[in-house]
Amino acid sequence: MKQNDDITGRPDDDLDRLRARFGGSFDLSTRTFTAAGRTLTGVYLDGMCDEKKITDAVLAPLCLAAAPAGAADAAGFAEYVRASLYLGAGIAEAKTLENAGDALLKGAFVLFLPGVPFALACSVPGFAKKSVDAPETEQNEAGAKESFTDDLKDNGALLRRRLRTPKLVLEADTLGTVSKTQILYCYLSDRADAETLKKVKKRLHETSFACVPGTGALKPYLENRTASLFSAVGSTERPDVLAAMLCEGRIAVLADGSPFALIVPYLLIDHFRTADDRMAGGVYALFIRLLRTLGFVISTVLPGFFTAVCTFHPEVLPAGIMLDIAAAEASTPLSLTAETLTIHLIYEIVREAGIRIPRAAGPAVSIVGALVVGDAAVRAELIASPMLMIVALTAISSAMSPKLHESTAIIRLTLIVLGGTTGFFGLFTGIGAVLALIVSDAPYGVPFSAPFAPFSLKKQSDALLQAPLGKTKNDRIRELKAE
Amino acid sequence: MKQKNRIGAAGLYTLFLISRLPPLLTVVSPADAAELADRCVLFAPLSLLLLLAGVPMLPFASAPSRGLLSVSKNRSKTLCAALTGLYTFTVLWDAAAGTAQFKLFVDGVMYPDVPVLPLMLLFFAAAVFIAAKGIETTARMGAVIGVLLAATLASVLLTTLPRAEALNLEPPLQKGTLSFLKSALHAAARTGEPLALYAFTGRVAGKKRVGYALWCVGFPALGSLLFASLLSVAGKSAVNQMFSLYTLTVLSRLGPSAHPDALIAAVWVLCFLVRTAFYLQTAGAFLSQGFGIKESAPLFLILGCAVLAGSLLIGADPSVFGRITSAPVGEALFLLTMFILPVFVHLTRRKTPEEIAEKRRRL
Repeated sequence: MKQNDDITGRPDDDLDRLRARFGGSFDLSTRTFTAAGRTLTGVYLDGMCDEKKITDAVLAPLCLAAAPAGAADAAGFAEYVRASLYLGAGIAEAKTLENAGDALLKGAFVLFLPGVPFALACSVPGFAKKSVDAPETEQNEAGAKESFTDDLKDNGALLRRRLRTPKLVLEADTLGTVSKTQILYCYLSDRADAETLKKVKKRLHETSFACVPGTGALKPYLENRTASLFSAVGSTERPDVLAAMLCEGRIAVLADGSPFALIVPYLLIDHFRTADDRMAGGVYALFIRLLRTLGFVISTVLPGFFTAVCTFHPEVLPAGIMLDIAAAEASTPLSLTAETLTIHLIYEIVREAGIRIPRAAGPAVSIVGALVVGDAAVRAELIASPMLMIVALTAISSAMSPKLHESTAIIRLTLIVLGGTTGFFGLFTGIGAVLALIVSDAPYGVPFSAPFAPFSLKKQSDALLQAPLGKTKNDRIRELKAE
Repeated sequence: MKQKNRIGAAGLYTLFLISRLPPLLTVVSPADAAELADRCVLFAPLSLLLLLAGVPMLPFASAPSRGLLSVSKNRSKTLCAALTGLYTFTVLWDAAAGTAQFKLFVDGVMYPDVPVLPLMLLFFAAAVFIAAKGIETTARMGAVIGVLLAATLASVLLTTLPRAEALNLEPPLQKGTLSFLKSALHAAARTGEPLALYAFTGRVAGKKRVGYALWCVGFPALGSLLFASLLSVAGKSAVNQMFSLYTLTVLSRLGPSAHPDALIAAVWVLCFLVRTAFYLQTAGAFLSQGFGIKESAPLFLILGCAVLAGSLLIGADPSVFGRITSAPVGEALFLLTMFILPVFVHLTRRKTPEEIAEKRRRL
């Protein structure tokens, strides 16, 4: 079997077997040309290579150069071909068809030479890719306007441009038995925790992936937990954010074909910090981070709290407000708890539809959501207007820390049920259980709730507070782990 | 030892405070109500008693890597088994008595018209869940809830301050010194938290002795302040209040809400949740030390069921609660488990070969 895989030096035979390996795919193209009196055959995958580069760096030099005297035998001819190409380090020998196939898949032009028992793989990748663009999911006011692309090399360069130090390690690896996706482990060798890096590699390698379509597919394996509501793996499409995170001692994983980097460990406080905070100044940064934290609390607790107050503890609200709410709720057909649950489920449906629907149809969802749910339902007295205010405030608050949406949605619905059936007792029992989940988590050995629980005064400099850049602890992850 | 099974000294003493304050302020049994005036100062002898004795620090000095029960196992396995049974029972009993107070509060104030059993089942499910997460988690929760509790107490004290009348404070010791000291012992008998020091001996990191001294002084001082505040605001009517802090919160009228008490009751739920989980973990730690039972979710579930049954029994109604908790057997059990048995185990302990070798090496 192994014998059949070797390149024989008979280009026609080798080409036939290569075509068979690719199942006769239409994009496997060949170029036959003459150089130094011999007929050469080049193979490439159409769309994976830059055709101009093939012509300029491979075909032109070979066709135009005169053959030296020593190129008569096969070995000398191979050496002549290798020396004539304009590709330098981008030329590799492929002794088997498997090697040649792998090279083709990476965007190489593979040359079969008559009488030579190996092929020359010339790296001329040139597939269509997205250019460096402004970030789509992480907006900021005054920060960089670049985001990662789908190309791994571009992403590595974007990162290196921001961290011009040899300590930045971009370690390549391949995952996926079928997709053979290239991934990069990115870290600063003097700041990243070696044990965490080992754990990241182990977690990714102990699972046998067939296909890795992007970094999203790797996330569950980096989590390696089944029953946690909060993700310990962050993601970003911003090179500036990733550079700052690496400086704190974190480790990132980039995958070819994906514009998002995964970051470990990712803590709760990271959801409340943005790239803009550094420009805002200490006092405003503290204020805005507190506001984001409050937004998280409102988005999880407010609907359950409202349900508990209206159902079990009306005395908490001033009488006038309570009477207005009671009057509005009196005409609706559902009980308050059922109404709260329904309206929040509708909100989740509208949100999900808004994300998945093609952009052209997006406004339709907005119109239907706003008019049907927002206006008509209130006019038809299916939903009370105070409830609409609650869901609106919840949705807006939830948007302040969008990456926490998955967790907040589940917690919110659970607290609505608890608050609606058992009042403050159940609501706060539920909050206690959620708090236990938050403080018990320690992804990669760093407490998820650090530096608040366990509390550390020294580590507050870049938590809710924003210390000047020179005074922030750069290797804080390692310090938090040691705490 | 897994990280989740270790605890810092600051976290442990925060848990002590979170565990002790809410029961202290939740229910004043009819038997104690008459001595409420003395309560403002009776914490002083309690403080002295705990501090001077300092017996709970003994294991840290004599066998810091082992607990009290491990030390007793060296002497006799039977003694160790008996002590394990006694200490586990005492902790579970304290947990049940505290939760019974909470049950009376829920039943009497929060939801007088709602069946309490489903609520207690929900509460215990959450407490077992938290206990299964480990002592470190409970300590971190304690720190977060401690901030809430401190804010609650501070706001209540500040808002009731304008209503305080110095003349409402009666002179203590009106019934004589003996009655006063009995009262102090009775209050001390409810302070079962230091038993956790025997359970978690090898697992506590940090300044244990300083923390113990601070707790011995700080907790009684805070208790005295709160009771003095209650008496100065509510006067003689405070004697008739079963839920003393609740009375203060009703009087405080915080912010725009006419009834902040419901919100403050919510903080109570969180405090009792942490307290119950902490007691379950302490009982679990004793069983682990004495019998080698693994501290796992099923164990905490069984212990939780026992505490639930106990709390329903003790907290059936206020008079039952008063009768059971004022029985002198509680005080005897406190003196026995907190002081007499640890001193006995310490005096009769056999050194392990490692300890003997260490002593020789030092000589």
